[in-house]
Amino acid sequence: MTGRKEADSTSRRPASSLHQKVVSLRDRSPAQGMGRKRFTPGPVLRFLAIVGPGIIIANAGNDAGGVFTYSNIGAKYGYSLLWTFIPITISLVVVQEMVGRLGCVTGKGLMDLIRERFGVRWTLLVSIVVIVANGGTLLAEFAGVAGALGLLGIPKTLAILSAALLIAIIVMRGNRQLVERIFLALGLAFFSYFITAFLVPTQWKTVGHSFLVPSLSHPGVAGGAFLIDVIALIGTTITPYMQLYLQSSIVDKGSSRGDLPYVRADIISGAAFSNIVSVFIVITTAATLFNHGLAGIGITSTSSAARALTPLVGIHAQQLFAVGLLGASLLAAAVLPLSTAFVVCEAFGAERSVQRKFSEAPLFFMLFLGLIIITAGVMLVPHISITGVAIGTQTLDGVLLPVLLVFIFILANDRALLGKYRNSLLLNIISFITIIALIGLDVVLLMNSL
Amino acid sequence: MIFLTDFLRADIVDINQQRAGTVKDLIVRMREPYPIVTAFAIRGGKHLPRTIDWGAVRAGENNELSLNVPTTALREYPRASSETWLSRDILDRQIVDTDGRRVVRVNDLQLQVVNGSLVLIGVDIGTRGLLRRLGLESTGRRLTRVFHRNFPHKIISWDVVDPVRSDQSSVKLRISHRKLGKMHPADIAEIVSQLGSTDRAAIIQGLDAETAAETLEETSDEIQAQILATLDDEQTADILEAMSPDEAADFLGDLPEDRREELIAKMEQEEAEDVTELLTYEDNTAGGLMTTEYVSVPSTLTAEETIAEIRLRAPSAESIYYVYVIDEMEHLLGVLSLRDLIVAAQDTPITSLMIERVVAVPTDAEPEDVAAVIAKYNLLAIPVVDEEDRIQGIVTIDDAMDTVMPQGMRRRARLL
Repeated sequence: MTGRKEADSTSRRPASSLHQKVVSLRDRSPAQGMGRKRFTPGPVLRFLAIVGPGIIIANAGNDAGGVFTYSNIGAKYGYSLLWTFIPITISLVVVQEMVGRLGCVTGKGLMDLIRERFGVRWTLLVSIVVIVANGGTLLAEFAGVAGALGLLGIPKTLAILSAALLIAIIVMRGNRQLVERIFLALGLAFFSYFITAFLVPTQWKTVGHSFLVPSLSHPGVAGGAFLIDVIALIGTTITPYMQLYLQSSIVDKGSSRGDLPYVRADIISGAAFSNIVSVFIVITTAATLFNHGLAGIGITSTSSAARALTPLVGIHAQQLFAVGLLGASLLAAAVLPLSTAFVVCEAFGAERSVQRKFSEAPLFFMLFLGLIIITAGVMLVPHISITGVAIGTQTLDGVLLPVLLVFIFILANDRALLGKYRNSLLLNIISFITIIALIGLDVVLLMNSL
Repeated sequence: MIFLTDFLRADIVDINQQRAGTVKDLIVRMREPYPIVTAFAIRGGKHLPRTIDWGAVRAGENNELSLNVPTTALREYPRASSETWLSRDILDRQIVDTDGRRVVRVNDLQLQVVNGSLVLIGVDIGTRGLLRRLGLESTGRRLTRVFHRNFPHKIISWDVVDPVRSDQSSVKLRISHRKLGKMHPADIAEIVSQLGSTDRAAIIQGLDAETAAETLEETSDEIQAQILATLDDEQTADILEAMSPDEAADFLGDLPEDRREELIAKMEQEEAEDVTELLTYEDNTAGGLMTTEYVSVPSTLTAEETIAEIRLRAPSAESIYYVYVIDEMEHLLGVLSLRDLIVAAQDTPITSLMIERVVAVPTDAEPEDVAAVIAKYNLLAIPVVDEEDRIQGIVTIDDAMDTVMPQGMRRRARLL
């Protein structure tokens, strides 16, 4: 450290011979200063600088669980469930807006706020919910990895073990930013659904009709199974972990209440964009798989889901699907165990950093490694259904989601915490309906399975 | 040992053995060194005041708080809103443990009877406090006994804990705020980086401009920008003046043009000129990296005169180990080492002491090249010159190293 003391400028004692420098600075011809090209961000660029969390997170929503669930919905029900995307997208925006606002105004993570507002017991409950939900989502990602590499002819055991090892190493030692970008790029393969939808004989009139006219059941599908699929659809679109991750990254970026308009724009565009991708997965699979024998059955294997891309790339559909699925699964898998361990440790004030030794941060490493080992272990069970796991865990997310939403709802209404930034009546109505609808679905599901 | 948890949810029983509700919170008056319990808040007592003076308490034990008056005689405690509520305001909040430099949480609060009053004496930050909150303390104790281990309390004394003074803040410091100002800025920066945005701002606002400036220089660009955005313009300008001009220019350079000019206008003229000058250089060049706080002397001086000049200039210069010799047009003629100056006879002209082949870099040199040159010649600082060999500033070794160090070593490993 050199001693940087006061910024006492040299020109303060102009009489001294030492200060010719300043004189010459003033005499400098302006041409010499032309080297400057400093960046002055306008509103658009400022938006782009803050953009990120919303869009990336929303697209991380199209992970293994998402792709399988949307494919399943399209293959099983055709276009008929497209209408659900309208209320789900509105709910997603409302929920994420609350989370974004909490992050911007308080500068704290969601778990921080839950601990400070509700105390240890509720924090423990939410932590368990988060660990279970995130563990489920991670399980779906491993299923995605197994499915993707399976299509490329790599045995499941090898696929799972190397993915688990890769994730642990990347997080603890590697350049995560670079790796995340690679995974994100691989995941772009899913944009092929856009093109495919226009190559196949999509019945656009029926698509439009399905958005406007809700159908609440489907011939040949039992009520209970229908309900499970709808809850999975909600659970994979409004994932519990996304809310925690979103708030953490907003806080991490140092966004403040002045950034709120940009954060909102980011959240809305992210949600709209990712759900358009989801809608196109449903449309494409409806146009291809639904009309080819999977109506009322849904997807039963990775290769049956991959067949939706056949009209675009023919026999290479399996490879294209595999690349997209691998990228999307690994992207989420690299984020999930770390952010889970991080928020739980934060809530309990435990040491949390991958730079520490195991003995210095035991809870952190136990959660982080435990999640990877247990979920990878489950996927190693012989003959486990990849699509079954991927979609089933989304139902689990959907069932657990209302627990987290209730806390977000209460916090977003807290006058002491948010002051004039607390929920408006309209937001409260929408979020209240979302929570009640989710709890209602959970209750009906419970009664159905009894 | 008595803990806050023992009181929360305890039944309140009046002198006639009538149940009046449960304890919701304890209210303390802040005073040095230990806050004193002045009242408690009631949950569930219908037709009763919501807060009651601690004077009405006869005893508190076995999950029961017995009163020395009938419920009908209870009156509202008048100062409840201006005093601190332990559960609401302190429990579960973050504490920066300045020893371990990490964020822990208030799991429980330790109380003790001193001279007949109940006072707050300690903060439980351990697992044992956590289990107590969950009602599992005895289970935990039994478990640790099975493994022949102790189950220690992890308690820090309240007199070393100091709340950060800010409405929204949740942070308590392990040491007093006053002592924080005496810590090394790099250490304060480490603490600040661990906190949420409102807490960061509260800590920085508590420091004098000098320390605040040095602390900000040690934080990442994002945190720096975010903290300065929360301060008002006057405070920001003061801190920018106290920062070294190159750091201040870095910060200002990332702002929108109109905002930048607003802040520069509020700065003292001299500092503003230095910063404006530095802003004319591209970010990723020697010019963008350099500072204008160096020592240069005309070639006509003797060794003794030069040392006198250094004495005059030392407080403001970033580095005095090298003294640059210039002609009246500011052309760089040579460099003197402090050592040579001191060892030389008093009246030696510096032209005979100076090294004439000075290693310098042009203003548009890449930072990596600057660092490489500094490393190659084992320099502490290197002069930056324009096309006509006139000195414009110097790049010190720490600023040069910052640019070539791997990202991960400079920035706090961020969550994601």
